[in-house]
Amino acid sequence: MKPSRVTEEHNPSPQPPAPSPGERSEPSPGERSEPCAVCRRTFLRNGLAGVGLLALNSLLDRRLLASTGVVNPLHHPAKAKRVIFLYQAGGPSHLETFDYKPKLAEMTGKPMPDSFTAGQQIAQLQGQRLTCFGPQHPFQKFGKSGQEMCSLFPHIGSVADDICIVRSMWTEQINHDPAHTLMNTGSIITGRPSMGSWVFYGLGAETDNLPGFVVLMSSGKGGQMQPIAARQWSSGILPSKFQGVKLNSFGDAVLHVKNPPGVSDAAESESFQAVNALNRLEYKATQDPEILTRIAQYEMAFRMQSSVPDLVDMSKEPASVLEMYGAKPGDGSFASNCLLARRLAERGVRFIQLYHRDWDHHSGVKANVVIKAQETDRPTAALIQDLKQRGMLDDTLVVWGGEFGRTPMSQGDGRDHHIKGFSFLLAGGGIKGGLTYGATDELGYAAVEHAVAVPDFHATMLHVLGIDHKRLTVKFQGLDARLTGIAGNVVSGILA
Amino acid sequence: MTVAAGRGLPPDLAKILRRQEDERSPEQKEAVLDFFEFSTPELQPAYMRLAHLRAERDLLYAAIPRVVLTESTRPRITRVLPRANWMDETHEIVEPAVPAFLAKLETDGRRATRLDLANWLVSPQNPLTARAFVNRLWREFFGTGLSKVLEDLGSQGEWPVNPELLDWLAAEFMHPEWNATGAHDWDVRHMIRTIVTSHTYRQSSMSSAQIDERDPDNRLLARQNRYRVDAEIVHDIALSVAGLLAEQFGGPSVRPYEPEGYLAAMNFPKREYSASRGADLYRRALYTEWQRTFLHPTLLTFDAPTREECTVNRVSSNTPLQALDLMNDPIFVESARVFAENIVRQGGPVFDRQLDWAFERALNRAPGTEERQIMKELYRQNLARFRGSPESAAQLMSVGEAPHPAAQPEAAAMTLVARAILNLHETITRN
Repeated sequence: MKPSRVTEEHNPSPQPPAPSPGERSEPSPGERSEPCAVCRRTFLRNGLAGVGLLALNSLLDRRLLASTGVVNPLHHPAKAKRVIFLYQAGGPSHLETFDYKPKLAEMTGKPMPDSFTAGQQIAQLQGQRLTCFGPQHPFQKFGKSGQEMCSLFPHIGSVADDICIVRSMWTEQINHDPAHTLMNTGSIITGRPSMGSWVFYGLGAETDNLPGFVVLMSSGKGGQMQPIAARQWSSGILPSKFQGVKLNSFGDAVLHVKNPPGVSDAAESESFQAVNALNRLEYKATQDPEILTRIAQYEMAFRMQSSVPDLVDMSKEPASVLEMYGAKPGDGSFASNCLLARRLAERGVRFIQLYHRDWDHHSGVKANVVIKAQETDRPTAALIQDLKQRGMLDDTLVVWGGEFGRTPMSQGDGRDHHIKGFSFLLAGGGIKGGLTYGATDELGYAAVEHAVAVPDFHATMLHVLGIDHKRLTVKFQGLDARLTGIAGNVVSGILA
Repeated sequence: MTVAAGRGLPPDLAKILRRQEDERSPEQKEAVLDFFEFSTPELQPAYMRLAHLRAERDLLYAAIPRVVLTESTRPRITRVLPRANWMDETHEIVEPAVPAFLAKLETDGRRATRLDLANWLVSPQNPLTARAFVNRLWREFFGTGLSKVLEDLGSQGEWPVNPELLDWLAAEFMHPEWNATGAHDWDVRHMIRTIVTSHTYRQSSMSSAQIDERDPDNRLLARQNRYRVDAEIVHDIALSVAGLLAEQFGGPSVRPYEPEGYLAAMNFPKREYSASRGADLYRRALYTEWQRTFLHPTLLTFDAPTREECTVNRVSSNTPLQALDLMNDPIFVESARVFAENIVRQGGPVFDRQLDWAFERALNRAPGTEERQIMKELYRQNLARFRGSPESAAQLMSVGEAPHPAAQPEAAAMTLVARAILNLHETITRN
């Protein structure tokens, strides 16, 4: 028996096809191109004329980079091409955001009925007296669809008809890090690939100027900020090129994207050319295909030196757009990141994940949710509106939610971690707007109607992208391992 | 010893001395010794010396790292967990053992301990330890193990391409016999010497169409393999070529330069980072401080694992972030500039000789004609540029903490040449 090539899929460098003469032509007119990248590339072409630097045309390199993914053709027609995940880290209270529980308000101060909590895993309230704690802010109906949301979120309310509220999410993990790990990878065991890398691996990217999976992070003003490990955007058992690249909110967006001090753009360009020219000679001598990948990556790195600053330069955004998001360029806020997410989406990035921290309201949930609403309400709505007016909402899936919810029981004047029921917002490609889906029980404790497990969400997300999650696999330890794990059913009730 | 009876002797002590020596309590014995020390000034230097030696001994002991080991006196009950459910307590109770298909620990019915396991791991009856180790060692010298899946030599791993060789190496490791003069059992150095002096290791890595067709992954090693070196070595090569590498052995971890705010996603407590000073900036990357899940970005970019789980076999990626890092990361720019200063200083007055010296140092070969032409052009253009803008030259030549002489346009232009050399695929590839 032929030994199984267990780590074959780990080979990070795709074996490029040998360049045939036909492939050494100019890029086809249909290719995506941005003005800035083009001028930089033109410069690269014309820089050191006569030395024969560009024997291999970029078209070949583009194949390596802006490649289609492994799901080719798609398993079924896609409704969305990309995902923007507004990850509210810390565990937002569903009871002060999108899940209205009048019965809980009535019960405030009374003991939580045993029938709800007996034998259940809870976090810091374990073994303590459990008291009902009603919604701390009023709710109201929004839009033609009349969706109920907390009145602290009027902007999201204004796009209620574009949004599906899923009130019946539940998870298995009651602490932040494992719950993030489950939400991102479908497994509580670390080392599995994250959802951004699944999608990048499955679909490839639509850009060769930026990474296909980008992570942004912002911090809230409340102060209870749980750390987020870089593992949350790791590619796990997938090749590492599918890992998320975190853009920094301050300083250089991508590490070392700037020329060293004293090195002009021209000098930088000539240096990249010299390296690639010597590497091409090395390739000629050795025929080692890894060198072609290296050359392609140096070209992409060079393009990123202009595409990344161009991406984060918001000076050309009209004041009205900045105003709509409430963004002050360079402030590293959630608002700025939402605007950045739209710019990333426009540029062909496949999976954009924004972490916004500080939802961990063990105490002072009433005041803290006000702060979070100020930070997230307007930018979230602005992103949806902005995508819509650009015609991009139809093929972008926007997700808003965190790793778990919070208890209907009080923890002082706050709420503890809660896994049995919480809310997600979904909007855009393939999702039915104006719909409230599923429900928790009358006290907001457990998802009882159309319960949606984390893997069900994963299956649904992949479904609208044209991927059957049961067929998205990678060879690992002798198996075709499903990237989502073995669970998950598409939630067809929320599909448009 | 003689003490004049009664004279100058405290009554308490006299009382103690009247007892037989073996009847005195430890406190009483100590009191006698104390008084003896007090009453014999001629022995004071010896006592001082003894105290010094004792203090030194204590210091030495205190400096030895201790492994704290606890062993439960009443071992907890361990059960088979059906489908890994640790809350299910219905299944059979099990005792410590090694996998039954491998062996049985000989303990005469006594409950096995960790010492039994340790002894079994290195016993001649167990070939697995040696096999796993030499397979891992093989990867260091050929890029891939004889069995590719280093972490699993079992059924979910890969059948070795050459099981006889793997077994021979394992046996040789446990008990050297081949050119074994001076070698001992489990002698890693002997194994390394055996591998690197082999014909297989010393082959050229050049391939041919025939080899590529018959063995595309080169598992049969008709040639040497080519592969990018590990993250730490990428770093060390640049520093070593530059002449910056501080080859100090051991000691506490060091903190190389790190981009500001890199640890901002951490909390409890918030992390402040301040880089080391002086030689500690230039230690081998092996000594870089690990912040688990947020390891140093240079190492992360070149695929060092985050140490959250045991990683035996690293993947080797090839990404644009690596290019940006090698081109623009201050540690590599500093390496290039110090390398350039050495090139200018040691390569003689003529550019061609300087380039020869640089290629020899970094790549162990002379540059080819076309390479020479490309590098000359890079140097020429940038020399003109830096002559026109001495302040740019000064900026470039002051990257990093290493001392820098007055910036010369020649050295600045050479820095870009040096940087290009440090960025070559060949430089970071084990050929």
